[in-house]
Order: sequence, then structure tokens, then C-alpha cells
Amino acid sequence: MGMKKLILLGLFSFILITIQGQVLMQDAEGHSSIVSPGGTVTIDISEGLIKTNYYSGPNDNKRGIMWGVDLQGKNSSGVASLFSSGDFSPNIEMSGLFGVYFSKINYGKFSKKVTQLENNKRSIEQRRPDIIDNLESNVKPIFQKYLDEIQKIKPANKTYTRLKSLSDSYTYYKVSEVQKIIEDVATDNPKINASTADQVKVILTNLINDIQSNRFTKEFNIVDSEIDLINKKLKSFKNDSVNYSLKAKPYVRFGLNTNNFTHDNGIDSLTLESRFSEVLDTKGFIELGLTLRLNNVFYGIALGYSGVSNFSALSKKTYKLVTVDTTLSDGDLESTKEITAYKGEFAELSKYYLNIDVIYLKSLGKSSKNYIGFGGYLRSNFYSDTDILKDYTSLGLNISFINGKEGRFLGGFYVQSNDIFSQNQKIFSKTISFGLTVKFAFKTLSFY
Amino acid sequence: MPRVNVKYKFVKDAFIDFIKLIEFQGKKADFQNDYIGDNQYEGKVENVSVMDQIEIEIEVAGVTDAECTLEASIVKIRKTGTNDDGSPKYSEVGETKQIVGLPIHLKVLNNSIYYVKKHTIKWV
Repeated sequence: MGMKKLILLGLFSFILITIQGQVLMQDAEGHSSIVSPGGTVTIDISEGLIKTNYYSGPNDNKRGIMWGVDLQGKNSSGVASLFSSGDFSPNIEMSGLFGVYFSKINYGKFSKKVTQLENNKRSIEQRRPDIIDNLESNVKPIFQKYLDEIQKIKPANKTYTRLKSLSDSYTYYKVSEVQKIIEDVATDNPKINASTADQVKVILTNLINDIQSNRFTKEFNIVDSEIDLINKKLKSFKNDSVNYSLKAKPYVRFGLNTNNFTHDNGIDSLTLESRFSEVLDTKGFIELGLTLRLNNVFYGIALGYSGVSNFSALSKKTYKLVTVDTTLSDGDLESTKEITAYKGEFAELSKYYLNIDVIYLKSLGKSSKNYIGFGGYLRSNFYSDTDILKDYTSLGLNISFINGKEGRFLGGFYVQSNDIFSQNQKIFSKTISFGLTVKFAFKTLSFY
Repeated sequence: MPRVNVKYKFVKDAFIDFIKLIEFQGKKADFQNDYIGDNQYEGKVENVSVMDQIEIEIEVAGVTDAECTLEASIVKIRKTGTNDDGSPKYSEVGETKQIVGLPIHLKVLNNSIYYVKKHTIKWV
């Protein structure tokens, strides 16, 4: 492959199709320990990887359960071979995830006060329907009685209309509104004479006194002001800058990893059948993980066990089998068949791994819905037999852009060292891969 | 007394990942069951006692600067019978009434935001 082509493949290595989901972090292998609701389809051209996943959501409640599925196909011969029936070695990984989630807002030193205020408010709120009932059944008839009196005084038409609107808008208990009407009697009713105006004012003053002294009005006003006071305190405590919020998602992920290839059994084999054998290498894995959002930082950690083979260490060979047909009288007919096989001693062993992901999100401005994410990830792999496969640790750094409204990945750049401690590759620069992640919208699909 | 059903629609950014509460006059919205997709919730809070105002309370958490919007209206209800379990049965009557000051737009500050305010009901 030419250098230009390699660079291009590297640059445009990921195509992510997000469907109502978040892709906050993903390594070159398509893995992440940060679990977010939604669905994605990932095509990684340089890695020959196609991955689709779906995680249940939204997980907006205080606590709940979550689940998810992943399906991934990978081929070392490139992505195109995944769609053909050529001589490729497909690697299929499928997994399920079950977990729970917890959400919390921490009010720091105000926590106890907030709980107390919330409880107080709840008990007052429970009484409020009865208090409103009492207001309607006891105070409204008093108001209605005075309203009827005013209605009979024709020159005070406008005053009646204003008073009636207090009744219609359920503000009849507000004596301050009646006080305003008293002050406006003369201006509201230009044709009213002084004695009639005084008569109206006396009626309305009696109305105020009756409503003000009514025990149900008092009760309503006391409850209303108590709630106002609680709300004021809650607002100041809950919106304090020292508060923080977090969301934790512990989960277990398990699945199967299958690899199908032709194995070259070695030169001791005398027949074609015994020389090459089809191997279906199926291994299970299980991991315990935790995704945590603490303020604007997402953390992911996963500890896992997996059965593995040394397939990646086998060498790929292409053979030509030539068969000569001598039955023809006018010459020999040669037919050629290509056999791609993997050579070397096939071994099975165990792998223990630790995955860590971190991403910090920063808004790109007050009017923008987009965020920039600065992230890093670590993948440490430890094998049960280091003579067969050596331990290695990958480290990646990435910058990504995400639409915070829809949780859609917009694109980004990553650089990864596949063997940060040079345990397999002594030349560090050869362990580095990089790529540009690009996203295509796929709006016709919706999982929710 | 005026009892109402509150019809609400709540839309949030994906980066808001915790809705602690949406309440109307102390009555909780069952937003878990009101999810309609695309980070949107639409539902009804039934049998809320109000006078001229309705208190709206929202508390959410998530990534700073993520936003949400609440829209709501009310419709009066009247007792029209009894349910099989003996509880009163209510039916909606009259027109939908607007609430002054809505929609409410909120932006997450310090990774959470709490909003509480009394809103006047446009009865007439």
C-alpha cells in the first residue's frame, strides 16, 4: 500500500453514524468503558471494522436499570472484505450489557437543610388542597354576597366588573386588589355621585374586613407565605456554586468473540486435508465496568477476563495448489487454487484487561449547542502465558466535537500508541496510529 | 375549588442526564412514563388544586450549559361520577387555559439547576 493511501486511510479512519446516541470515547478497536444511551454504527476503514451498538435510555431517573447490545465485525484484510466471500478471516464480537444507574445532586453543607425543607414543603403541599377547598367553600360565598350588593348599584358598573373579574380569576382572596378598586371608584365610574361612591367604598371596606378576618383566608395566606419562604431558601441552597452532580452506572458486560480461519498444520502433513484445517476459534469474555459522570467529566473503567488465542501472532501465508489434468490428448491442463492460511503453533490462553477512559466536556459558547471533548484512554492487557503473547498497554488521546442537544458525535481526532511501554515493538514511533473521526447523520432511523 | 389537569411538554438536551423533579403545585409529573423519544417528555398531571397561580418546580442535572424547556397549559376538571374503587371520577371541562411566563427555558449551571416560581393562570 502506498504511503499516500495509508495516510488517507489513517485520516479518514472512522465513520460514525449516531442514532440518537452519544459516542463520547472509542478506541481504535471500537471499545469504550463509557456507556451512554442510544445507538451507533461505526465503520473504521483502516481497521476493517464495522460496529453497531444500542444502549437503553434515557436514564434520566434517580435510579434504574439499563441494558445494551454490541455487535462488531472486524477483518484484517480491510473493511471491503467484510462484505465479500473472499479469503478473509472475520472476527465477530457480540456482547450484552446489564447494569444499573444512580443519579445524585449533592448540596454539600446544605444537604441536611435541603432535606428538611423538602420534607416541610411536602407536608404543607399535602394540606394545600383542603386549604383551597375551604377558601372556595367559605370565603368565595362572602365575596359573592358583596359582589351581589355592588351589582345592585348601577352607577358603580365598572367597579362591579372589576370585582367580578377577581372572582373569575380566583383572586378574590387578595384584599390588596379590592383596595385598588376602592381607590379607583370615582375614576372608574365618572357618573357616580359622592354619596353613592361612599356607599360603594363602605361595602368594599366591609368586604376587605370580612375576608381578611376569615380564618380560612388567614390559613391560606400563612401557608402561601410559608411556601414562599421555603422556596426562597431552597433556591439559594440548591443553586449554590459548591454543589455537584454525578451519575454512576455500574455494569457487567459479557459476550463471545469468534474467529474463523484456515490453519496451516505444517509440512509434516502429507495430504491437503491434513495440511490445512478450518478453525472456529470461539472465546468468551466478561467484564465489570463503571461509567461515571462527575460534573463535566465522564470516567469509564472496566476490568475483564477473556479467553484468547494467539491468532494475531500467526503468520499469514498464501499458497497455490496446482493440479495437472493429463487426460487430454493435445496437452496438459493446469488448474490453480489459492489457499490463504495462518502458520504457526496455535495456542489458547487467558487475558486479563483493564480499560480506562476519561473525557472532559467544555461548551463552545453560550449560543452554541456544541461541546469540545478532551479525552484519553488506556488499555492494559495481561496474558496468562507471556511466552506466547506479551503483555501490552495502549494509550490514546483524542479531541472530539459533540452536539450536546442531541448527544451526537460530530467528529474528532485521535492519536494512539498501541504499545506505550514498547513491550512488543521496540521502535516506539511504529506503535503510533492516528485518525480523523467523521460523522454522517442517519436521521431516518430512531431507536426510541 | 378549581381543580385542573396540567398538560406539559418537557424537552431537554442529551447532556441533561438526571431529571430530579418536575412538579406542578407540589404534584409530581410521572416523566418516566411520559417519554416520547428524542429527549422529549409529554404528559398530564391530574387533579391539581390551584387558585390564581400555579407553582412550577424543576430540578435537573447534567453537563454545564445544557438546556431544557418546559411548556404547560391547564384545563379545568369537574367531578362527574365515581370510579369502581369508589374514588371520585373527574372529566375535563371548558377551554385550555394558558399560564403566564411559559415556556420556561433553563440552562444548567454548576452541573445542576433548580427552578421554582409561581405562575399566574390566565383564567380570563
